[in-house]
Amino acid sequence: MTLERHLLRQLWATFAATGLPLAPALPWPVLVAVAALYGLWYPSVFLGRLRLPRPLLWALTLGLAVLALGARGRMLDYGLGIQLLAAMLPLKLFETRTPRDLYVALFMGLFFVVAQLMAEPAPWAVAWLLLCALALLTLLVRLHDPAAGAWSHLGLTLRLAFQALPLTLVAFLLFPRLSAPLWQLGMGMRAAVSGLSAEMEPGGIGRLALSEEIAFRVRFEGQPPPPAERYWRVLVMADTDGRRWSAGPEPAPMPAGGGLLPEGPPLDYRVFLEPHRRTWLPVLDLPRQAPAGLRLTLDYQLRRPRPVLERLSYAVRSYPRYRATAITDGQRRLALLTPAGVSPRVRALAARVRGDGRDPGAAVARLLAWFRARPFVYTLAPPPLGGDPLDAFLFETRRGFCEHFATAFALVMRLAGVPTRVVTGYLGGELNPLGDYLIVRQSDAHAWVEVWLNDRGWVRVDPTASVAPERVERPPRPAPGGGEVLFAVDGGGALGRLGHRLALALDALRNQWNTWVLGYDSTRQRLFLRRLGLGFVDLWHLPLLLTLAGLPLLGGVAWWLVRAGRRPLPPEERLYRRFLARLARAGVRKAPAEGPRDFARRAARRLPGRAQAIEAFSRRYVEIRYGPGGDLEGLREALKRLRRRSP
Amino acid sequence: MTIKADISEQAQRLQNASPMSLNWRKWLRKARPGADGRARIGPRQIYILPTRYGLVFAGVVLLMVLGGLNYAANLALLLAFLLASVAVVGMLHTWRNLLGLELEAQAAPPVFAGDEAVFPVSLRETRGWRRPGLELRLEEGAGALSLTLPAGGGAEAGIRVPAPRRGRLTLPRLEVASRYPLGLVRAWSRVELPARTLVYPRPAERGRRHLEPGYRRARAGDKGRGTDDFVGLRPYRPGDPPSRLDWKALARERGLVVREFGGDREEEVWIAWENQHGDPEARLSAMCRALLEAAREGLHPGLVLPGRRIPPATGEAHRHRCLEALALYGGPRA
Repeated sequence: MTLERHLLRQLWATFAATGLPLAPALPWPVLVAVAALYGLWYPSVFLGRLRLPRPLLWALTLGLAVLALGARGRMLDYGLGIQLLAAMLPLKLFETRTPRDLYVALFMGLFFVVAQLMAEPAPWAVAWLLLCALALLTLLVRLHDPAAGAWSHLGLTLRLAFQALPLTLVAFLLFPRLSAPLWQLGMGMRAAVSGLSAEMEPGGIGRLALSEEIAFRVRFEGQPPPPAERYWRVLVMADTDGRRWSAGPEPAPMPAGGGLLPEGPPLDYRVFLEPHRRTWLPVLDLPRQAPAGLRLTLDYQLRRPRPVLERLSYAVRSYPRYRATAITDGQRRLALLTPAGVSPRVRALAARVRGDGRDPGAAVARLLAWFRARPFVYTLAPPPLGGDPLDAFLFETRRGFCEHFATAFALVMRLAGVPTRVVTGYLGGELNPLGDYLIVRQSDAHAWVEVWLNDRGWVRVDPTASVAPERVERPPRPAPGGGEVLFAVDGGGALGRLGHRLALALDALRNQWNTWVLGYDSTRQRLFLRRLGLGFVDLWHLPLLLTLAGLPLLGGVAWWLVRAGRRPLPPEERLYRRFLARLARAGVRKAPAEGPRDFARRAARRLPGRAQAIEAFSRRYVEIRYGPGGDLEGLREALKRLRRRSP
Repeated sequence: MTIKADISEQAQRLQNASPMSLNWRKWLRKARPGADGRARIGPRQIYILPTRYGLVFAGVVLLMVLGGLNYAANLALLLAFLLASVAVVGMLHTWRNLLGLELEAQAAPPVFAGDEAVFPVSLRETRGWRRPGLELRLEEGAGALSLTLPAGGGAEAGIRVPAPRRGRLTLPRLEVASRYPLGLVRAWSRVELPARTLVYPRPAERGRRHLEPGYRRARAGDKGRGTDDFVGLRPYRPGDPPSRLDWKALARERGLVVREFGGDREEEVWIAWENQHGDPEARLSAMCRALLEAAREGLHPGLVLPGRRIPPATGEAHRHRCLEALALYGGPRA
């Protein structure tokens, strides 16, 4: 048994459609080869005009494999796998002849779809790929019912999908999720991401400021804090050589409950972090305890044991007013480290700031005032700083981005004898009124410092704020010329505002998508179950719950299939059946082969008392059923007369 | 030696099926005809198992679920669940494709042993939905018929059943199956229909014919009609053998005229059990051949079996009566 030509053509079209979303990501030699294969199939196999020798196909297979390998730099990973699949599909077309081949091709196609879905493409591509998967199933319907038209195959497949939808959703929501992966292999299926790095050099955060990518979203339990308090801590850097700052190895864990005295009400919120392949997690200034599965370090960083490769959500409680008292001798020593070769001007400044050295708080205020009094400019395009960056920034260029201000401030404070460290993270976030959550983008990246005051503990100081106070309220936007920083204002006219609102609406949708589809993990699942009032159900009972919920759904589909497919009987048939039932009760049954007239004659003979009524009903019935038509009311009347005569 | 007609068919089935399969099949439900002679496939008479492709499909979905779980790739999970759900819902569609089908079988025309009996089986769709991709076959036999029933329509199929032995042949259990719409599962239902047919003994290949001339002197002096003496001419009646036509008369344009002969009843022949040789089956075969040949030659054969005598006669009904006697010899009277 071989496959019908048009079925193969449909397979060909579906395969090509399945590859479309991937096309822009393929290296061009592979893309050209794959496109050529699809192009060759039509004349050679479908039209039969072009004969391709089998060795040529084998050579092509090999060539494509080499191409893909070469393009990927001989790395055996996810990207290579998906490229090989993309190339194998058109080759499989040439080899598809029997129903068995069709099934194999179908399974390959489904694998291709799922491999693309693993990379979490854009929502439109997801919809497209799901449609392609359904189109592949349509081929099976066509194989089993070749007589019906193409639209009826499509119709049935869509009906199948529609009827399967409730079950799919239940399975998606209730299937137990893993809280940690079973194996780690071939990671990196998602595109490279930007974000903070473990080291900070002048210009690093400035580059991030150009990225509109979303770093994370936050939903607060109550009111979100005012913009000036939205300091999202990510990394703490104490080690420096004067130019480069680094976070160093992960610090020791915070002793339980120690190191933070709340001085105000807490804020409860949940962070939905985009994957950034690092272990650090943003948290609002400052948390007291780590959520389950995460760690709080001695310098109040929140860390996860494994890199964040998937969308992660975690709930935290932070205290905007606090006394952070955790410090060790090692930390104090590190926080006072100064680079060698500090210029006399800087030393003089440090000495002035230090004063008598008894009040570090006053020293901080003096340095901030010094910054304010000088013509410092907050810019995304600072000039190069040369061999002594500290001196050059403080006394010559005086143009810089947040990290310039933070590092310069930290170094002068250290020279003045106040333990200081640099903190990188994000400042701000845009409130999406449609989704009631905060969007924090990479462009909100920021750097500030923390100083140790003996009586107050670690205190946050943002030197950028004293130079460019607007930064605290609004994210920086690079000016068109690349010079001074513009701060985003609600501007751009009515059209611009509308566009912005649309973008916010889209992001709200996207956030829902991220939360409920992409980021639906074991934590979310727990949350969902609790909301259903099923908080007591544990992971291993979920399959049972799934069965309990799934079986009635299936029963419903079966009921619907059997009921809805049934055509109602015409009214005269229904009346005739009642007529038959009545006579059967009287002891006269119609034989299967007996026509209505013969039966009426026989019944009339058997029940002479009702002979007339039987004949009358039968005559009317035959008129309606087989004749030109008759009146239904009369038939109903005749049936009633039959009943009246009955004893 | 007595041969029960129904045993022949069962013996054959025993050869085909292993004892194990006979055992478990006994427990499976089957659809049986109701009072109207039609078997209706009910919801609980339908069995469903995955096909080979269905098993591979399940494996593919399982891999997707594992990968999706491990890499927390919810979209992969979503697709895997969608595919699994579609397969399960498709199973219901397959089940529905058989549900409520009505089957009816008629008796097959008689055949000779060694041939195939063809039972006319009719399928009827009464629920109001189309039934594509139905397969109808003998439960223990190869080669299925593919059928598609339109909504409310029907179809006729001839089921070929090998008839290796003489006697009565009951239509073996049928199997109606379907893989529609996805081919991932196969639903089937076993149907028992009470149609029967007669299997005549196989005519012997060769051998001496033993025809006993049924010559008897007429007691009343009436010589009747025979082949010895020319009696006269009479007009042609349909059914007269062409050898008796008076061709000369036809040439003289006097129409179709038949020459009549009188005399012995030489056309009557007796085919007798005791004149045959060999075991009972061989005797029956030889008698069958003699009977067929005699009938073909326009003779009037009569049959003598131990305990049964069928006087000579002609005609289709007589021929059938004789063949039936041979077919059922030694078995239960039908």
